[in-house]
Amino acid sequence: MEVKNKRILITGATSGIGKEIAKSCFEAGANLLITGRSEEKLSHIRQDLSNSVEAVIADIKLDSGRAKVVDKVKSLDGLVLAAGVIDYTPLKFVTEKKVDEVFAINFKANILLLQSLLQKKIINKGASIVLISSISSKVGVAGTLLYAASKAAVNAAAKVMAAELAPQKIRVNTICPGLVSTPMTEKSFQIMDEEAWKKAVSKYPLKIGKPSDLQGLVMFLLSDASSWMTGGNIEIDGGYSLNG
Amino acid sequence: MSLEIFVNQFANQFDDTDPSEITAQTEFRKLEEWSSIMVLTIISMMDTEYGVIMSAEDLRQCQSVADVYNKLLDLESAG
Repeated sequence: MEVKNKRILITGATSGIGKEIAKSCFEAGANLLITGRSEEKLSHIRQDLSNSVEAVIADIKLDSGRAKVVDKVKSLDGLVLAAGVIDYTPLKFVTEKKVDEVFAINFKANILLLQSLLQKKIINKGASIVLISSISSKVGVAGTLLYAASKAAVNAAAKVMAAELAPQKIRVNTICPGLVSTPMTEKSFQIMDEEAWKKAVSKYPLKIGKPSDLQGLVMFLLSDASSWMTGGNIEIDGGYSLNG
Repeated sequence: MSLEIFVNQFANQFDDTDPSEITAQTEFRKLEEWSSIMVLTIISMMDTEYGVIMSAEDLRQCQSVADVYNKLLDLESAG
């Protein structure tokens, strides 16, 4: 599962899953470009890893943020699109503003960034694109309407992109993690009542995940070991899906 | 905002409970319709109607509807 010397871009790299993947890629010898909104957090990651890791402070929800990232990139062999937000608004309180906020980052930002990179022709033949979706996109958990729908949109878009980019030998795969303990999912614990949280956790035969539990799969997808794999939508959920 | 208006708003979030059953003194967790989705609903109501971020822990500390109202006032004054 070699990613050594591959040029890899990771969005949402300042915390949780994106941060862990950045660490794994760096340790495996990839040339990394990481993005995030927080200068302080990006600086900490560079201190933890190396100053050779390139970082772009950018809000990729904005045209200007995406343009900053695209300007910095020379060529890419891999992308991990991990930027996202969680949301627990029940249908009764969904507003147009909420829909726009959640889709702006979980769907639009990542897709439009890919569009810009493709237009600039800086994604190399044989490159691998990995989108971080969620098991929520496949089940109906009350309160997750916007989050689940935005991730389902990512799943659908990834299949289409896989078809469109196959002639260029660019692969697109999506992973659907179950509940992974990250600063973002801490919000779940703050919002769900204790009973609901315990019930959610009890649905994981292998316990809830850690960001490091995803690294093997993502490294596999970034590497040439998965070179015949595109359009995949892979569940990695500690057995959550066994519940039917 | 008065307690009376708040109680009405709170009661309106329920679909199968007669709003007249819900008063300031009602211990809302004892209502048959209370559930984890009601927790999300009340938290969303606080955000949408009052611009206040209330956590499940804040709500957990409340027994009656009046407790929720007082917690709202506390959170509003805390900014």
